Amino acid sequence: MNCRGFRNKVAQYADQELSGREMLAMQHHCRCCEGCAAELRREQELKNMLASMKVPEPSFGFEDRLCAAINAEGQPRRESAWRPWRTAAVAAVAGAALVLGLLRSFDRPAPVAKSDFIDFGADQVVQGTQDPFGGGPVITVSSGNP
Amino acid sequence: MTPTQAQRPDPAAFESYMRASHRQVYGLALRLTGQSSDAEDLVQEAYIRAYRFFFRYDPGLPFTSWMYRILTNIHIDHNRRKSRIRASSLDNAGLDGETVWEVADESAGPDKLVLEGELDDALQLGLLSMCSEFRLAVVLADVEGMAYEEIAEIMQTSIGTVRSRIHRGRKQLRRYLDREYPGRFCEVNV
Ligand SMILES: [Zn+2]
Repeated sequence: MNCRGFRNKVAQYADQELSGREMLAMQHHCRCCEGCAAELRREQELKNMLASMKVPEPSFGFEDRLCAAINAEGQPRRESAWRPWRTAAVAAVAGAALVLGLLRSFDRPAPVAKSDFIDFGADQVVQGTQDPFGGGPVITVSSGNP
Repeated sequence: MTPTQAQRPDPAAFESYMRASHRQVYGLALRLTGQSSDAEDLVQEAYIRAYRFFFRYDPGLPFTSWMYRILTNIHIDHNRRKSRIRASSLDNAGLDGETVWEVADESAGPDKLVLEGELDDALQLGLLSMCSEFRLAVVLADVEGMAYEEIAEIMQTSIGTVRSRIHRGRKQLRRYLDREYPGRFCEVNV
């Protein structure tokens, strides 16, 4: 292993995210190279500093406000039988929106924004994301207000 | 189809999960936003979303990890939305035909933090100076102590991307500390 290889993997080494063989190669290089050994110490020092950051407390009464906000929501949703139909309906709307978007793109230059948002109607947004609850990709149609 | 007993949401169970986890979840939100009011708003939005979809929570997994995933998703969505608004206003204003789409995370600017005097910690300022994806990866790895695989799961990306964000994020942070606090963190400085 050379110095360049070591420095490329120093973060993974400090995080113990390398294979056993790679860890040994890094360890070996560290013993013979003062510069890379210092680089590793700096990486570990930064990690230690970040790990020892104080855990901040929320403002007084936050827990109660949180409870009140959740209580105001009423009963949580239940898994409903019509969910597959809703998914299909949303997909159909999103598909129509994509077609509309394509048709609109003939009238003007193609957008180059690095965004997952596609304009849909005057005040709505069609958004493609991963489902945070583990259900795979999701397309949502929502108000365009931030 | 009638929901089974297991699918029935239980508000009392949710409340006990929330009371046990909210400080930790708030800690992550504050590291990501840098402002206590923004962090509280983010946490509240995350718990409301979690409550609505509580039937999807798998009790076999840590509740905090599930909350982290929801919170980071909302945070990423907010940032994308802000970038989109900024990009479209740039587009409208750009009469020279040149539009810059790489927009930095201005919402969490260190200047604001200093003005509000909420956290003057050099590390927090350094974290806020980073772009949001790098910040999120570094915070999850170093402040929360998560493994790359877990971070990839939360950020919904590959382990390779997580690796690169952590590597580059720490470099950015070290450069920031070196520039803003020369000689103060001698072991850390490049
Ligand atoms: Zn070396």
